[in-house]
Amino acid sequence: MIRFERVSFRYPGASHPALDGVDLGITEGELALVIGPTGSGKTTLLRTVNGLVPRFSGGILTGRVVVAGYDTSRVAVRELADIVGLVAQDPTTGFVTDTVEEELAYTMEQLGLAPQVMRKRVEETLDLMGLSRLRSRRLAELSGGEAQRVAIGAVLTAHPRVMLLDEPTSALDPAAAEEVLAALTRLVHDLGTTVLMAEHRLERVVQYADRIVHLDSYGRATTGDPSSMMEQSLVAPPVVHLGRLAGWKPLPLSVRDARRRSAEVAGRLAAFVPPTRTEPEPCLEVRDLSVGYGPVEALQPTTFRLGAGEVVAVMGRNGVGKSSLLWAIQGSGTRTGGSVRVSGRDPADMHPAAARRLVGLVPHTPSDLLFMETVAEECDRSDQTSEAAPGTTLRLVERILEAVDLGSHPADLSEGEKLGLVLAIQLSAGPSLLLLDEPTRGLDYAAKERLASIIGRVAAQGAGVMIATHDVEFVAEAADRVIVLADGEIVADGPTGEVVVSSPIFAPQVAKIFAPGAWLTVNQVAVALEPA
Amino acid sequence: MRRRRARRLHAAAWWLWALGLVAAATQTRNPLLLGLIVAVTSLVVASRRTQIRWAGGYRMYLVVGLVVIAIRVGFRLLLGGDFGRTPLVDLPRVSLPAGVELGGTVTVEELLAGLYDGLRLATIVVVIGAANSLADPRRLLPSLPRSLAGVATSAVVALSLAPQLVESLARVRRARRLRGESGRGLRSVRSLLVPVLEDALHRSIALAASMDSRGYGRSGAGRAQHSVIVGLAAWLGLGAVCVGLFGLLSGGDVAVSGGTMTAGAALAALGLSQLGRNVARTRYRPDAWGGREWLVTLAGGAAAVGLAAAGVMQPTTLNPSLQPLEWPGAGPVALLSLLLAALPAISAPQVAARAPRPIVEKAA
Amino acid sequence: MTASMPARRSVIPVRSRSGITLGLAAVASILAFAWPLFISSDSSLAQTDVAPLLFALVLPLVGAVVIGEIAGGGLDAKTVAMLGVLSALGAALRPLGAGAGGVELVFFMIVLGGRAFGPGFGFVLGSTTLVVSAFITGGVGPWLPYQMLAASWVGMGAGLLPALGGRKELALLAAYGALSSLVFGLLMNLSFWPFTLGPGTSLSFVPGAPVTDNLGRFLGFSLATSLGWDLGRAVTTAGMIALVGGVVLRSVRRVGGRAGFEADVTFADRAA
Repeated sequence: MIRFERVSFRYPGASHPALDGVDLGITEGELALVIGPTGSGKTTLLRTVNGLVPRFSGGILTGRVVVAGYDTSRVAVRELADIVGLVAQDPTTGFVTDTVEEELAYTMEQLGLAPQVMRKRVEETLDLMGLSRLRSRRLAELSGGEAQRVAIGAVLTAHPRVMLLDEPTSALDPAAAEEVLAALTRLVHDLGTTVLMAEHRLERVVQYADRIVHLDSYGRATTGDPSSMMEQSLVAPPVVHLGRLAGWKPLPLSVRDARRRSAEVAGRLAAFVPPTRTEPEPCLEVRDLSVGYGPVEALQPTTFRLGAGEVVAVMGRNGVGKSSLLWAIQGSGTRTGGSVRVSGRDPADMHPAAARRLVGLVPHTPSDLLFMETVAEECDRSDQTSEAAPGTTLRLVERILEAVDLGSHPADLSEGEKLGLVLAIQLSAGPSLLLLDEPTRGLDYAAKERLASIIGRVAAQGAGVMIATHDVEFVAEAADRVIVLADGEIVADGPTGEVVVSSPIFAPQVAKIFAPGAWLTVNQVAVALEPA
Repeated sequence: MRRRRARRLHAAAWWLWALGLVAAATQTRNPLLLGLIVAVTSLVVASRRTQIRWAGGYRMYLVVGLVVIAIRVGFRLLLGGDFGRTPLVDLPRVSLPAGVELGGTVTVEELLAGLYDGLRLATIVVVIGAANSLADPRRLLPSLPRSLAGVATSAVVALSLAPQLVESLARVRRARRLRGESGRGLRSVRSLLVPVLEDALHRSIALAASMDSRGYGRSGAGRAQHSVIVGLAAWLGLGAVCVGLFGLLSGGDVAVSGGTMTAGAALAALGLSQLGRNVARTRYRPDAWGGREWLVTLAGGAAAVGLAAAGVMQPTTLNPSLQPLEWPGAGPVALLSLLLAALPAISAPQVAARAPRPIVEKAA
Repeated sequence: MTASMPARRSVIPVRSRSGITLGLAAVASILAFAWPLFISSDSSLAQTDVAPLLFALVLPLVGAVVIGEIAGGGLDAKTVAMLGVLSALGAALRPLGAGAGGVELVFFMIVLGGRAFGPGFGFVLGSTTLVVSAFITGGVGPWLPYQMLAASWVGMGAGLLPALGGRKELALLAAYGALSSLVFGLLMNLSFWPFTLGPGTSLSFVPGAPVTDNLGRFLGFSLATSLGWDLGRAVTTAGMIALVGGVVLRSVRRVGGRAGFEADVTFADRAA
């Protein structure tokens, strides 16, 4: 269905190729998963399939990409609209119309299909994607999971034979991700659509894949069936790491497979008692804090404390009030009642520059904070406002991001790099409380590990850290304590192990495998299994 | 079984209806008739407006109407010349350079003349406001000729994007505090504008990629072919419009100039519609034009024709005399034709209002 | 862009034959905006307030023909998206302005957009920005076609200004922004002057009177009403362009270049 013949591609002005000699074939009806570290060209690979690369991006492509018999060098992108459907990383940026129904029909309108055909296909797609209740909803009012399903549906109405999906679940909470993946498997199983999907969150998708395409940092591809690919891949979900550690053959890809083989390891673990932590000094005290927007109560009166050096994860569905909570604590967000004390003072009463030295917040969209024209300028500006010694921010940037070109425009950085830059800017003020809103979007496993270690270091220096996230694996790795919000209320608050192990949605893979044992990460298991 | 949704009226029908009422209003200074027109539009708006979001809009137009009346009357009283013989108040008289006289004696005739004129303009404004709240004007965009399809798409995109950008302006404004920016001076404008701009530009790239891969322009939209004849029609049409307008302004024969202009406009419109003939895209569930649309359009037309007829039969109906002062009156033809214009309050389909869903976290 | 004189691109090319259409549209615009200066006392339009309403019906057609002419040649997805985004930005910036006066920051985006992407793009951007702004705020009225057409000419003019680099370019654009917002205000005022004020006052329009007399009265009317506003708008527009125009222009050009309005595409192994 899709054939790459010695495909290499170089962006205009780039020093090294984004794709290098890619040779692979994907047969009809397969679900192929593209994996690889950030910046390895996953998005580029996807976009060569319908010709957006190089027709849209510019650049030099050598070799041939053939999809359903069409050579992309000979067919314009738009002529492939009924053959290849592309769902981009942030689906909301690709919406052309105003309402769900119109959006579903848009591609068909461009194809010039007959009105009766359009009517029928829209209804079918509404049912297939579980969208019928949303048919006349405005696109701007959709939640993340809904928007993603609409975006897939909008591509689907053209009956493409190939679907390209760029990180379809990375911005979603676990429940919404399940919905999207269920819809996708239905596509592959019932309609025989060929799916090529790039995704960082392997723990969510790897068990659905028929084939894995691995891209390394130099844009070279290797491909194979999932279990053999997973045996040596650096990029792998926790279940695979655990399987390697325990020496299971064949390697399990799903929690279910792993659980059936876990009895022996679980028995060895039962003898081990994890160390308990001591109660630290409080650095944040929140009393009866509530947030409301007009008649809508986003956060019921909430009371909790956060210790210095403690890392707390705030979890809950999209839209449950996690961001509202962080912003209210920082002091810029709406508060309708209650009090906040950070090291005894309320940041809302302080001048912004002074408040920064108390609380640093990295928002959901870090790019909101970037307004200079180069990374170096941003760093200088940050040193000035933080009243830090010149070069402070720069050193932080270099520690957080492995390599970044100081002359590049902040808007051209990847999501992960923007996050790192803003994190460095906020840390340059030396806050005693660090708040992070959804920091793991678009980060690969290596970047998440680095982020976790930076958070660990910040906490070790005595600052409290609070992370709003729905990345359960990251929580297992980084957080000491978890607060679960539902319907504007705290429904659970306790050590990570206790809270997440009992939850079907927030449990990381390792916890699911060893439940009811309180094991969260492969590292913990590895330490416990080490001969003393 | 799900209940079938009422088919909403074609947006253009409401605008044509309003056009008829505007045409009626321009013909008269009679406060009774103008008041009746406002009453009719208010009735129709109250019973047939579609979206809650637009409901507030009509009230705004009513306020604008009142402001228009106030301006007219105010200027008339302050700057008015010697008109009328029934004195009302004596204001101190001030002479300004260039022959401008402030104040002086205010007469009843003057007050009424200002009021009648103002009322007419206010009525026109209110009628347009009614069309605005009855049919969201963005629904007219798909009815544009195909040669303008690309531009119409831009407008649709902008309409859904603009509120999101306002939201992101608010978000960035709040985020500025996080960097300790005080919010004054050049940096403040910059730190507000640049993130929003970058966000918007990033969206434009993503959107273009999405449109391209979803087949935009595939069947020739935006590649409309130019033929010499079509271009010529557009030139001739525009030229005739200019000539006609000039004729009307310079006092030429109304029939000839008006005819030239109308013919020119028709020719230009024809050229425009032919421009995109080779575009083969289809439309999903377009608003249909049927009996109910005709009824609404004709109801508006009836008001315009009715008032014109009433004017021919009895000119004072439309323009009540101020010298000598007379009570305005209205004949049966005028009244009946305006009542006919209220027909859509019953005949047009009732479309259930849809409450917007509150956006909680996004606004945060 | 490192070059001191950035390459000017014209995203929507205006062809020579469009010149005739543009010329005719310009004549129609002049008639519509300055009709009080042309009208004779025995014109049938002189006695009533119909003239602006009549023009409000004709102008959309004029604008549509021009846009159909210059855009009919080919609006690709990139242009449509860029137009949509810049119009949305213009409309979103409108409420940021000093309030009811209103249009100041709209011109900001139109001038910079027209400058970055050429006269054809500027013309279309002017119309789309104003129509989107009116649809969102509910400001649809007989004044809208006038505003659209005027803004279109402003956008086109920005694209036609001579090429300059660096600070000179900004100074030129700021001056142009100030001038065009002032003229825009005066022309809007002129065309609706007989409509808003009505006859019978010492500042009223007198059909057929000598042009100088009418101009004098119009100046008085402008002083009494909107001149302060128009000046404020001119100053804010110029100020904004001078302050942040450079950053915005660089951003828009950078993205315009990267999204590749004329992307350098090579299929090296394309079989013959």
